[in-house]
Amino acid sequence: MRGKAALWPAVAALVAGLLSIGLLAYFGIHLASNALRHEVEHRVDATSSIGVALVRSETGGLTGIVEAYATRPSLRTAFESGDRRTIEEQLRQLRRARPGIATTFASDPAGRLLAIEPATPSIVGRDFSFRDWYRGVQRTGRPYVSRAYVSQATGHPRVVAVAVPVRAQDGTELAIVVAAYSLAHIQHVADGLMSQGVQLTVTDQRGVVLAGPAAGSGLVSLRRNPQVAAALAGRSGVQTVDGENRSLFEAYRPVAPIGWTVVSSVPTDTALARVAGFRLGMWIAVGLALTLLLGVAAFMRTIWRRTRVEAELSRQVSITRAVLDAVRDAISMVDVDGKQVMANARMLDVEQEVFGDEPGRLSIEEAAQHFSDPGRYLAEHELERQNPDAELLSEYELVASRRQFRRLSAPVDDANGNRLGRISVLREVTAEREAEQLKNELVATVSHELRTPLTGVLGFAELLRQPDLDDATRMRYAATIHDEAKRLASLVDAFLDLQRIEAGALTLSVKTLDLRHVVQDAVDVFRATAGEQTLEVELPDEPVEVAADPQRLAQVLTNLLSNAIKYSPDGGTVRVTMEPADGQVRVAVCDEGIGIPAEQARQLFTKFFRVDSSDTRSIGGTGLGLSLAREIVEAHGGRMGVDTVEGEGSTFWFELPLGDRLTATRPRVLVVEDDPGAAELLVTYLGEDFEVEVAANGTIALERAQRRAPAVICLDIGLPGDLTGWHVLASLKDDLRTAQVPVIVCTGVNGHRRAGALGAADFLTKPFTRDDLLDAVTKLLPDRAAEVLVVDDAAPVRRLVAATLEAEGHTIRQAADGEEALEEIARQRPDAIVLDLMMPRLDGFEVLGRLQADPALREIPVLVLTARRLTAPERQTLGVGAVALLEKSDYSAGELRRLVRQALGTEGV
Amino acid sequence: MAEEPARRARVLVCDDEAVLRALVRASLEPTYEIVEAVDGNESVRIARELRPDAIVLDMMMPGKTGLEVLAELRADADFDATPVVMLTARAQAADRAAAADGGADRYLAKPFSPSELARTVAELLQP
Repeated sequence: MRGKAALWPAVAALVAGLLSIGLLAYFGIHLASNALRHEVEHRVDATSSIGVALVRSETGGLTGIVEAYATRPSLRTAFESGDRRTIEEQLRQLRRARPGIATTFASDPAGRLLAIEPATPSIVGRDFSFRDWYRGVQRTGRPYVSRAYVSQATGHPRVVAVAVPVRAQDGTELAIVVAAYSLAHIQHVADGLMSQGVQLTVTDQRGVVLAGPAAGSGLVSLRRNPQVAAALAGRSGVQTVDGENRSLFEAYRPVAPIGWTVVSSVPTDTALARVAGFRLGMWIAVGLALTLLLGVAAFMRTIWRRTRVEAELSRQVSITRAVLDAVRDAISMVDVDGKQVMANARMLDVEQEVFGDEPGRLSIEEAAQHFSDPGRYLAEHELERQNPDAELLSEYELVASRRQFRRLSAPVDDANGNRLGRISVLREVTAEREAEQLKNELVATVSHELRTPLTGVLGFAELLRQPDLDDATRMRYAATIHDEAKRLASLVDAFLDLQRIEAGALTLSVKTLDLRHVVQDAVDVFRATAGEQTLEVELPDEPVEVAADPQRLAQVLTNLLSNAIKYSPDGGTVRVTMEPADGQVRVAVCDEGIGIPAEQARQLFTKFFRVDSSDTRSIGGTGLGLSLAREIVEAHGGRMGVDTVEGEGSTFWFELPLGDRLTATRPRVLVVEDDPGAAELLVTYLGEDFEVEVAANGTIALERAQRRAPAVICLDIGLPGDLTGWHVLASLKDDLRTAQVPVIVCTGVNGHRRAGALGAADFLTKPFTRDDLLDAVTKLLPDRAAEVLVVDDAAPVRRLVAATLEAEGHTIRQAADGEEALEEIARQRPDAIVLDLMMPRLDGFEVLGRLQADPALREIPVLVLTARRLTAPERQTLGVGAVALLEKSDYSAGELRRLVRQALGTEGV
Repeated sequence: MAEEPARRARVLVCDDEAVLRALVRASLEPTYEIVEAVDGNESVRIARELRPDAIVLDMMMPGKTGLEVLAELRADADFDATPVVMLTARAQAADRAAAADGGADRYLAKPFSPSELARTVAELLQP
């Protein structure tokens, strides 16, 4: 679709181009044709008017000359006296007065020829009164230009006659002097006007051709020619005339006063030949323009296609690049000449470490020095060079960072089997190797930890078999065996507990309890067995209600107390305090021991870690206690830590959510942002609706997220330290604990595609608005969020269940008994109900019965949570209304969540 | 009682685990006089102070490991011939070799038998 959309403008441009060229050609030709037509018409008309002027001046001039002769006194006298010689002499002179005069002659008033020059004696004396010139003079009494006629004089020229009467002094007509003007001469004059194809036709007053193309040897009349006729009628004009086989432009004019006509004409094809030439030129130009336009269009199309191909190619390259960069392995490829043609981001990181800022400057020998085993590196390199087809697998360690890589190197061929080069894939195995080492150490440690009590048991058992032992010794040995066996058992238990917790399978038997009692009980046990140490306990006066597994809590307290006593000097004091505050209760156990060096304090909660000090002498313990204690506290939704000052003592503390804590949890959003201003802004944006936690760098972010997975993570990319946002994102998605947490990449840099490739759920480009952020976060909260009504008369249980389900994104409403539950249900139908059975006023069985009775409520899934051991009939009753049953002794957060998901029909989503 | 030798041989037991020290003591008393050290540093100090005739040395101890204690004592001319029995939870050949290389005379892996320990110490202290 995108291709088509891009094609339309090109087509439109092409059509517009064609249209404008067509219009230009059409109007060009039309205008040129019109202009030329006007010019031709003008020229024809001008020729005709020049013709008229010429004819007028010719005939006028001739008339003047003849008049001058006719008024000569000598000629008059000669006519009066009949002096023929003078008359003939005068006529000869007149004939020579102008070129074109064919003959000159004189007649008497009756029209009889008196004399003629050149002499034609045969016609002298003949009567010519029938001639037009005679009649004209007689009719007008003035000089007259005659019609054309064929003279009877020598040579019989075709002529027009200019006749002028000769009068005596009293006015009587003595004779008529005539000069016959040769039509050939008129033709000659007319020929002089013909140019550029314009032809001139001159007729006399009868329409007889005097000069022009139609003139022949005889007299030709054009009276029927409409133009000639119009001119004879005194009109003038210009017309396009269709001739016999061609059309003509013709201009016609009368020649006043002599009554002749002048018609000038030009064949249109000749006249418009230039237009035709122009038109041809124009069409050629149009053709060229069209060819050019089509060529350009074709070129554009090619370019466009290429651009599209290039865009697609570039998209593919970007995708490939993003995918390569998203891969955790470092990948590079060299061509057959050994030149690197591709390296992904990870590879560039590794190369940066090996080669610094000047890759390629190092020789292979120098590069080898950066690896733990340069000799092997060089040998592998050589092997690769000599066996281009070999796939090689090797492991390297970088000297500087101790990072370990497994390297796979293999040839790469194209589809046709041509060698493209060689690909190297470096997979960092540092963590695996470290894990292996840790595992080995753990095995050794476990082995050591188990063997010590085992040695005691076996050794004293052997000693016990000695026959000569006194009873006291025997009893002592037996007690030691018992203690060591117990220690062995607790070690195994602790170890299994820890494994179970790590597998997420710790079960808590949650009860509502007064934490003061649990603490007091634990302290009492120790007070009974404590040696020289003093145990001080400060407990609040009011009950401190928490929902917890008392045995597990006792386990935690026992561990903390035994550690405190173990590490306290004789006569030292161990103080136990309890401070409820801010929805939490904090229990702290302070000793006056030697404290713990800061770098070791961090490792305290690591399995089998024991502070390396001579003062740990004679202190038993599993090395698992603190690690286990922390897991237990966290399983209760709390946290645990230590504050220690070397040389002054340590305070181990844990915090549990308090029973009377309100709105246990809103969905947690972890904001990973190093810029304090930006972080504060995000907290402001999100704080109203979410529990917001800020991590200023990647390490903290990962630690927080892995400890307790938030609902959503907002991740900045430009972070300080080794871990960029991309690393954090990859690590989050790589860890089972956090892989499901949706991550919104919030950054100013580009990388939308990369974010997607690495598994980000959304991408916000800075700056974004509060609404952008809230929309993005809200959209990502679990779909399975539902409204769950928790019904239990024990508030701590309600709160524990609420906290557990709220962490899933559900909205929780609470009811303290059956009556309240039914009111809540009536007020608004919940999506699911978690129901306790034993409650005051209206118990769970009754609530279930009421729900079953109401068709509108029957479908609400009900999860029964009870501390009761149910009888078979009770189970059967419950089976009708409840979808699931969870006994409090089997309670675990995971199981509750699973059952609620199941009840909501979102399990497995 | 009167026939009691002028002086029982003195054995230094070095182990951070109280129960193991107790076991060693129970295994060797009353034939030998037992003195105890609870970590590596104390082992070296008490050895120099009390000049034991034999040393039962745990491999894994805080402060100094058994091997470090052994190396330090063997470097001292006063202790280059003192019989040393190494005790360790580790039963790996590498540890055995390290103990032998360090100059230990015997090597006992936990769990060890008290009678075996007594026999071993007796052998080592045989003139």
